[in-house]
Amino acid sequence: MILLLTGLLLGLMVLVGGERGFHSFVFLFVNGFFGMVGICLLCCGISPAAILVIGCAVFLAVGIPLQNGCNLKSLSAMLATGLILVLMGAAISAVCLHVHITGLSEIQLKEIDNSYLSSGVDLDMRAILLVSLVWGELGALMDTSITIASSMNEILAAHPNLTERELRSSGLQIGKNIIGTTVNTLVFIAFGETIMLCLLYISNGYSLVMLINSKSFFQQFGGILFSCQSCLLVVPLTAAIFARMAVSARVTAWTEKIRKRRERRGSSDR
Amino acid sequence: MLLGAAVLIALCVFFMNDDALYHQTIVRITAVTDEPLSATEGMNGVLEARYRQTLTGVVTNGSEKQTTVTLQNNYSQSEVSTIKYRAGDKLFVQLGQGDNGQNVSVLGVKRDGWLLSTFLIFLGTMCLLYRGRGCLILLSLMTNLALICLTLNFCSIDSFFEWQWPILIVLFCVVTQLLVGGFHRQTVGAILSTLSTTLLIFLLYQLTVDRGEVIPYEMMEDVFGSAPLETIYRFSVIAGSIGAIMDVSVTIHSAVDKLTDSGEDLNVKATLASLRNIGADIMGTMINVLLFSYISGSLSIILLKLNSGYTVGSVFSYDLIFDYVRFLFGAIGIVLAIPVSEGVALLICRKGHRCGA
Repeated sequence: MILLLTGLLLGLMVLVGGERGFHSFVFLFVNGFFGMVGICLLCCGISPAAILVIGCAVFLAVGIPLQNGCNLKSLSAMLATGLILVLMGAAISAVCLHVHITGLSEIQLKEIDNSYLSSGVDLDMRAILLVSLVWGELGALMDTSITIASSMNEILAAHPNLTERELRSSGLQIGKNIIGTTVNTLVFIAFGETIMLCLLYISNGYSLVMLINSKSFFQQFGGILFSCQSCLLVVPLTAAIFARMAVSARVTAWTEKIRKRRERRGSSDR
Repeated sequence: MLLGAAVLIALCVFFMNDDALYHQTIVRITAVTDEPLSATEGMNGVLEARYRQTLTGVVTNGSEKQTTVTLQNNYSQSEVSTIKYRAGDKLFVQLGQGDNGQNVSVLGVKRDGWLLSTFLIFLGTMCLLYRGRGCLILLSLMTNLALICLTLNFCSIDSFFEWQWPILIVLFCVVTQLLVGGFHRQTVGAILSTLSTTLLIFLLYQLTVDRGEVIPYEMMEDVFGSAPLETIYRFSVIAGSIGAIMDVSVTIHSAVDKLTDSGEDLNVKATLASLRNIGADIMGTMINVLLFSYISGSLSIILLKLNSGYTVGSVFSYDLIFDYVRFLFGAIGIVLAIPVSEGVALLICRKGHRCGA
């Protein structure tokens, strides 16, 4: 059934998106594959911090240009996403230090036969928690940032004479339009994941206060909060970086060089 | 603006220090000393270091306020099922009289301050950066939250998940899109397409999951006694995907609105071509968002199980499968929402044109 549904997804993507739909599916598959490789490496005991940094760097430096080409919008999205990742990574680790949400939640401890799981673990669970939280926000972060950058690119193409300030404010305007649906997407995902937990608390007669002090709720809901927060922050940053780079002479020269090189390569191919 | 920031900071400080509101005794840890215990060996032959902590703390609320207590805590290196406390932590404790003096047992960590502060900072950022629009988004989130609380209070769990849940889904769609998108023609279109796509997803779910191989529902996280697991899971799948479906519908509908805004005669072919482009653009990244968000949630438990010798196959079919099925339906929802919204948008446009002409 799982295979059937995955096949259906592929079929629909090709049907709706044509060749690019197929490309997206391949990209998705590669992402999933890298995720699996990451999990295996983590399991082998390789430092989670190293995997996190390298993984994010690969996604930013390879994933974004692959999907959007090597140009101004990719570069600014990359920079903005990278900055926010560092910032939120620091904030998340600071919060995690205080809330003690490492490892199994109270309910998992009670319900699963955890004699296997709770002893003889040579993993750095604290770092793994950080990996999972940062990993979770990476997708939404890249999506938001690229959307802003590419819409600003269109605006720049249509009105090449905009000043830095005007460009930035148009980027913020786009941000206002998309942020609502992005936040809602994340919140509904979180709702789908936490509904069982809330029901459990209600059916056991626990209060709301116990829910917000519990480990499992923070593990699931906190992650989504961090994702939303980073999406909020990345919008103005992408707008500022893109606007700054669009008017800067050095960056213009750089994109021009890349374009020329590509043209030259294209003509030599023929 | 300054006032808002001040109120926000004041609220954060308040939630960090709201100990007096609790009936349970709270202790703030002031000093910690660690001493090593003998290491334990797990099933996989790995030794894990263990420690004993002696914690000194001050009671911060109730009748015993300001008294000093000491308590003991054991923790293991990985902190999988135990917690290593630090100075400054606040713990819920049970004070009792044991045989040898005071007997203190830890009930849990006080996390509400951090959770609510994170939430408040999110609210603050939203209002500061996005002004009016941000407040509307927050209003939609709050309304949805209130809807959830109301239904959970007034409906019995069984009947809600049996047949009443579609009402909640419809309410979610309407409320969210009206508040976030404003009352326009395209919002009505987006609501219509979201609802029809959700219906398609639901039918697909009924055809495949309900009839296909059995999902091991009882292995789901956070299971409790008499819960109707199948119907709750179905609800969680649908609720998880409507956010993404709404996102796609709104994007397509506002694109159609912009494309047909020029006032010239509607060129259906050209519009469809550029819509196809937009669809291909947003599809990949949106599905990626779902992939990252869903899979990262269960990372810890997957690693723990793999580490203690579970096979990849069993981890997939007992743990990952729930998130994977949610992801699949969300992704299919995103892809389906593209043609559905195109159809609805063009229908509405054509009708509008005919009426206008």
